[in-house]
Amino acid sequence: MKHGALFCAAAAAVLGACREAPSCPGDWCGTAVLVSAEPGVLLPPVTQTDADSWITAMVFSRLAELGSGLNTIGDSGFVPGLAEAWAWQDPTTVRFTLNPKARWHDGRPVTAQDVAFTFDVYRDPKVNAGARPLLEQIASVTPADSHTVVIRFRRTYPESFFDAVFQMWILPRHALDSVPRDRLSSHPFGRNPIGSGPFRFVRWTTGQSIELAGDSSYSLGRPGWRRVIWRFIPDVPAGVTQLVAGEADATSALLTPELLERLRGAPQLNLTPYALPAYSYIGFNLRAPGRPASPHALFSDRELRRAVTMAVDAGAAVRAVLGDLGEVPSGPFAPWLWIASDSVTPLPHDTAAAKRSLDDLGWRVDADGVRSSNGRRLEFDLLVPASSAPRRRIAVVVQDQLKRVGISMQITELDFNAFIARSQAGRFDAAFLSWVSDSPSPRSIRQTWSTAGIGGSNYLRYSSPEFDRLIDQAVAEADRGRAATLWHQAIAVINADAPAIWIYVPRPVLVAHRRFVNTALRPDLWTALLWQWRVNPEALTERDLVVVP
Amino acid sequence: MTSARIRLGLVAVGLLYLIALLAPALAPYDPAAQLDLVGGRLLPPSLGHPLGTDPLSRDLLSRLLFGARLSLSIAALAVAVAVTVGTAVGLAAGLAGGVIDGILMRSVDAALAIPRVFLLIVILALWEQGGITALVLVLGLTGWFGTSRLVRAEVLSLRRRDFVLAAQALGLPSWRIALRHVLPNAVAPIVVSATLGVGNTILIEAALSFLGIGVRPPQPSWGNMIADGQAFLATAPWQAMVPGVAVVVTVMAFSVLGDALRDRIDPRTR
Amino acid sequence: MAGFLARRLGAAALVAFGVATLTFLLIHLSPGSPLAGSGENPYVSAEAIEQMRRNFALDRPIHIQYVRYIANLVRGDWGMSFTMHRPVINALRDALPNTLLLAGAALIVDFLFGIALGTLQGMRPGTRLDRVGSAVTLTLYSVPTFWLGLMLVLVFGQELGWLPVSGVVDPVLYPTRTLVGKLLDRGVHLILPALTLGLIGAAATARYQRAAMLEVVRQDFIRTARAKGLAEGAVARHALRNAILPTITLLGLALPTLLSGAVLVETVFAWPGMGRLAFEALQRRDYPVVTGAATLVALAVVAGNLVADVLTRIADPRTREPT
Repeated sequence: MKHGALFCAAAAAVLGACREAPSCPGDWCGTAVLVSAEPGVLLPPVTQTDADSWITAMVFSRLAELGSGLNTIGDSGFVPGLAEAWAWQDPTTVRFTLNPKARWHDGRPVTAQDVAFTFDVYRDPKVNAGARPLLEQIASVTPADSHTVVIRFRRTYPESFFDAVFQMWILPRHALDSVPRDRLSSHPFGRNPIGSGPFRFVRWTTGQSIELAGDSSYSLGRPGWRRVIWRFIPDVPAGVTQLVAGEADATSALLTPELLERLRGAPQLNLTPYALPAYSYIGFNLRAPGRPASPHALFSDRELRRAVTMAVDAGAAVRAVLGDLGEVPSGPFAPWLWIASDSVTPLPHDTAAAKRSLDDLGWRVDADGVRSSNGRRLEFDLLVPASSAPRRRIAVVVQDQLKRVGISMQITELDFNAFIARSQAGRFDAAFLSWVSDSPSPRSIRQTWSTAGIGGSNYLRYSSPEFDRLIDQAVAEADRGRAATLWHQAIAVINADAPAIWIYVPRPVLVAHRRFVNTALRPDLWTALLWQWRVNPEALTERDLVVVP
Repeated sequence: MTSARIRLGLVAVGLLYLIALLAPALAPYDPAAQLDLVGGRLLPPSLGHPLGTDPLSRDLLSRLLFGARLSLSIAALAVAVAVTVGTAVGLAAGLAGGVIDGILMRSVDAALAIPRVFLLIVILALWEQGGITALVLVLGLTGWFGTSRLVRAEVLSLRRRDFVLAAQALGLPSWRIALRHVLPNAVAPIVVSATLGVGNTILIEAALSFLGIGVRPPQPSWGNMIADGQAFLATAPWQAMVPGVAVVVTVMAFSVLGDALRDRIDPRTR
Repeated sequence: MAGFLARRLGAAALVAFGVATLTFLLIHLSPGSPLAGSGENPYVSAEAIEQMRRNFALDRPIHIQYVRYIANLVRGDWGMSFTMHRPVINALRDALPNTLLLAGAALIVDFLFGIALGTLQGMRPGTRLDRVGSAVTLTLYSVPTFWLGLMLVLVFGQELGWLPVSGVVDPVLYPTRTLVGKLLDRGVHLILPALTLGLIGAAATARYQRAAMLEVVRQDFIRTARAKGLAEGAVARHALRNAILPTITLLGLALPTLLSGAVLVETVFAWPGMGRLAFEALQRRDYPVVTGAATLVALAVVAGNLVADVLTRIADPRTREPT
């Protein structure tokens, strides 16, 4: 021991790196190292990538937060955020009382003027916020006094409260007021943000890491970590390497089965798969490729679409390629949305029925095993983005399944930009598409599958008046039970029409070091509740005790 | 000594091209066949799979052989393009002289100033649809500058020789003089340049494929096989090691041959 | 000298201009829209994408874009990155020092190993040392840079665990270190990437140096020195002084090679330099960053050539013009 101390002293003189381990000051320790891709910008209205959203969720806060039931109808499913209480004055007006303890990270108090300013920024066309169209139903956001704000809607609808609180991360007026709106997204604030959330921004070392510090005076309670380092990784395998090696503590990522195996082999990690608000599907183009005025030669036939859908065993394909990292949705939505129910089922996998249907439609099997009718082969091309390994692999399995019933599916892999371009332009037979919604509300279904979505996100040009009618009614229904029934009916219609084969919902895995306790997780945004995580005081590591001077 | 090295180089290069040619016969499996996506991924070397399987359960040895085929053909074709263009330009500049020569050589100097790999990366990253043809063309069209200077130098030194002057006096057209009298003498340095060029092109193509913009998956190239193996360096290091060794051995063969040939024709550098 | 410099600077400006134009053409002739990445979120409307298009002047005809582009380049306004929401100059400013650090360290590795080995070989041609040296340089010359990097990561990073394999510093501990600690942290992270980038160049340098040494050693003044009985060490120093001149001029020419190789090394080691910045920008179709990086590389290349030419003139009186 004496030699050790001597060596330490000598080394300290030389290296200055050897030091006495500091004790846990104020009983508040904990350094978490998280991994992700490098974000582009940390200004909430203009965030684009996952990393942008994850980090801004830790630095900024909203008026109210979604509770664990993920109920987006009405206001009963919400818990206080920056607002400590609210009250409806009439069906289109709600009055929020802000928490007087809420502060910006530069010390100034959060006021109602900040909320009004935020709304103004989000609605400004020059800022081009992604959430802008979602705030259309809000007529005005007015400060009644410094800590009271009144939000008025244009009309009543079930998710009005959700829209008012969920879409806007409150911005500091005193820091951004003087910035010209068209320069806002490139203002240095986006790389040095001031928020009111549980973690304060410290520094961004380009290409390497972002450091955050826990805000001990956060209005809802002190976060469990004193310091958070986000390390940037070029891709998921590099992140897994760091997690396994103990150089990183947590992340959420889409894994391959090999990477999952590696993580399982690391005894210090807890793994929790969950589901993203996303779904992937093989969509049939209902119109002729490049000529939307004419119907598609094959896929305008509903019975043919149903037959092809029944010939595919999505479950087997997903199990083979993703293991337990994917599940099959029963419609165009993630399974944990509140509209999900056992009563909603997709078309069953039934090869015999598929074959019978194809025979009835006149598709006879030729000598080469592929069906044909009137000289036309039952053959089509599936576009797959080369950037998605799971989709590429699943496509190969599906190709094999279809071959067995006499359907020939060619796979064309395109780079992502070309894939999107052709999908948008309708120049495809079938495309392996996927939709991600950063919202737990089911309304995005309307954008992709209603007639109004044609020309926008409805690449397949699916149009069903009955579906449109049911969706519109469902979105306008304030009673959750009745709304759910209407949603179920709408989904039954689209499942029967089979414009697409629902393939999988990706299940990312939340990886967390064992020493973290109280690891709450909200599936729509895994970093939203990170401030509640704590470090087990008996399991502190060296890293946790490091305090930045 | 030199002739021994030439023989060694020729044998090595010949063997490599033979293997590449016979790849379809030598490979035990189809390089694109995903044999068992559930249980056959990343298998270590065994009797059934002498080099194991890759992350998509494809046989690594077969992919290595077909990768050889692809890389060696791409390099040969690209160098052929480069040599053809370079020789043509060098001949034209050397024989024409004057203003044309000046313009051509200034352009070549400017082009040589641009880092080739950088230019290739920009072009190939932006034009993804080109495929192998585009890759060969771009590699060839960015690699002819050195050859043109070489050929031009030879032409200039030969111009003053008697047999050329005599041919010109006889009224033979320039291109005839070029092809039948000048070119055969310039062959030697061109061959050296081409041989070394093939080795260099294999390295560049491997780098581009590694970055994902050269030979794209699912076609096997040593470069993109190394990229695939990078993610599994911890659990299956041979995935990345084996294709790399293949590159090293191949490029060495061409370097040995090229160096030996150069020593043969230019004893000063011995 | 002044006239020479002026001419060369003029030529340099022309090359830089040419590269900028070439890059502009390549980007605008290539397929693919810069904004397709927002395609998978149903809430990003076509209107929002159109707005972005206008913000970045993508809706103007191409010749207007070109004129604006050149004018801006000259003025120092290199535009705004599409994906990073910051001026291109800032992004380059953050990335360039890392690449320069890496290139500088690689250059040191290159020259130390290369000149040492080449000199030794040149002094003793034909011996066992010479043959082993040649085998080593031949092998290194045939190794792909990125593969060498991966193998070094495997051996030193993974198996032995001696050296870190990614990043410039340790993000957790760096802010807490003393000055010496910080330097050491940086140094330790620099070792593997610099070795990867430098060793392959060292092979080429060694071969060049060996040839130069042989050339010199053959000459009369060396034979005289040996005949006079001068110790080998002194002979070596004489020879080196003459042989090193052509090798030093390689310095200027090494820069473009290093910058090209840097893309690969930076990718393998997650080094936040210009090569990786430019490559990722290319993949995301972040055109302003690509053109900015290309222009910077062009400037670096001409600067390198200029340095090489100037060094040659200073070092070798034979290349100077008669006064």
